[in-house]
Amino acid sequence: MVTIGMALFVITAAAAAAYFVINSINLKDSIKNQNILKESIKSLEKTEQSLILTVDRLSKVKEINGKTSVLKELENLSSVLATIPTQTTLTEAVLNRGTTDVTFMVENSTDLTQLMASIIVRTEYQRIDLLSFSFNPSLGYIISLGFASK
Amino acid sequence: MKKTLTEIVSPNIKALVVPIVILLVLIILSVISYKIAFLKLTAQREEFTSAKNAEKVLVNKEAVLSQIQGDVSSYVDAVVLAVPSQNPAIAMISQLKILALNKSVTLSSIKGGSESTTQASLMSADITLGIEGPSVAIIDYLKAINTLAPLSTLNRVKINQSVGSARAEAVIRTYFSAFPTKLPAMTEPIKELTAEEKEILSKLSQLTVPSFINLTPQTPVMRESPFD
Repeated sequence: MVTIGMALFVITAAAAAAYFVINSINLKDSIKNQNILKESIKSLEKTEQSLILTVDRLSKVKEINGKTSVLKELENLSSVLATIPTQTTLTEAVLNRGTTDVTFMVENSTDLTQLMASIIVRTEYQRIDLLSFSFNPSLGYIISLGFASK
Repeated sequence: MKKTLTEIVSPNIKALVVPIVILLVLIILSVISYKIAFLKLTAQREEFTSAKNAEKVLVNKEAVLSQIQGDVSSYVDAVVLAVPSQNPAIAMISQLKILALNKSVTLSSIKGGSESTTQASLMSADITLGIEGPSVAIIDYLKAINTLAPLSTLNRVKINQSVGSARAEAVIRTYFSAFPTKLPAMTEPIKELTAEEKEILSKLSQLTVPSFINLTPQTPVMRESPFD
């Protein structure tokens, strides 16, 4: 009984020792590899700095792209102006984020009808409000519209 | 007469006492040594696993850095010109003037505002422009500001048109931010550029960049007369 116990003890101890040695060798190899890699990465430090800077600036670019701008309103206004009748004059346009207030001047009712027809078909706006409408015998019709972007 | 313990215990049991004691000692020793060995082996295993993970991170880091080594300088040029570290108002004004010439509009007034801190990391400076020219050209000009480096946003535009020509007032906000000062730890995983970020980089590389003139310092010259 004692002999069996002793034998079991010795075998287990030997197995544990072998496992310990193998792990030690693997650990040493891994640390050695790490040191080689660290040296190699150190030689690429400039590249790493550049990458960190690039990633940092890109996060700022994303932040700027998310900021309010009237570029969309400007592009929409540009496409509106491209379709209105040539006799129509744009007298004033105020562009803010989400809204564009535009005042047009047209000489006669025919041009006014054409202007309204060209505006009513616009799909890039959520809503178009008639802000004011007046007639001046010397200038013609003066119409102010408020465009609310989608 | 009282009997002693050795006299009470039979000789057979007496013979078993020594091996049983040895066996018990062995068992206790085994338990203690197994416990110590188990703890030691577990700690070593954990150390090995973390070393392997660190090695994996380093292998990946080296691969990523080696892969982008050739392209990264062009990335830096594009992003630094898009979001500089210092107030880009002067460079932006120069860009706006050049653009005005190209788009056939006149800049009647240029006003640079003071720096404002929108957030701790991103600062901004406003430029207010007065623009004159045909309304179509003004709109074309304002749309083209988006193609300029440094990056800016068009915050407010007002266009007035009288007979023949138009006048516009636009508020342009330029941005800048201090450069990062610290590199992450060597064993920290490196972030590879995503497809979205590469797309942003390709857009940034298409921006019109400010033209800088580098003046080289003059070398000292020998004066013919020391009194001149």
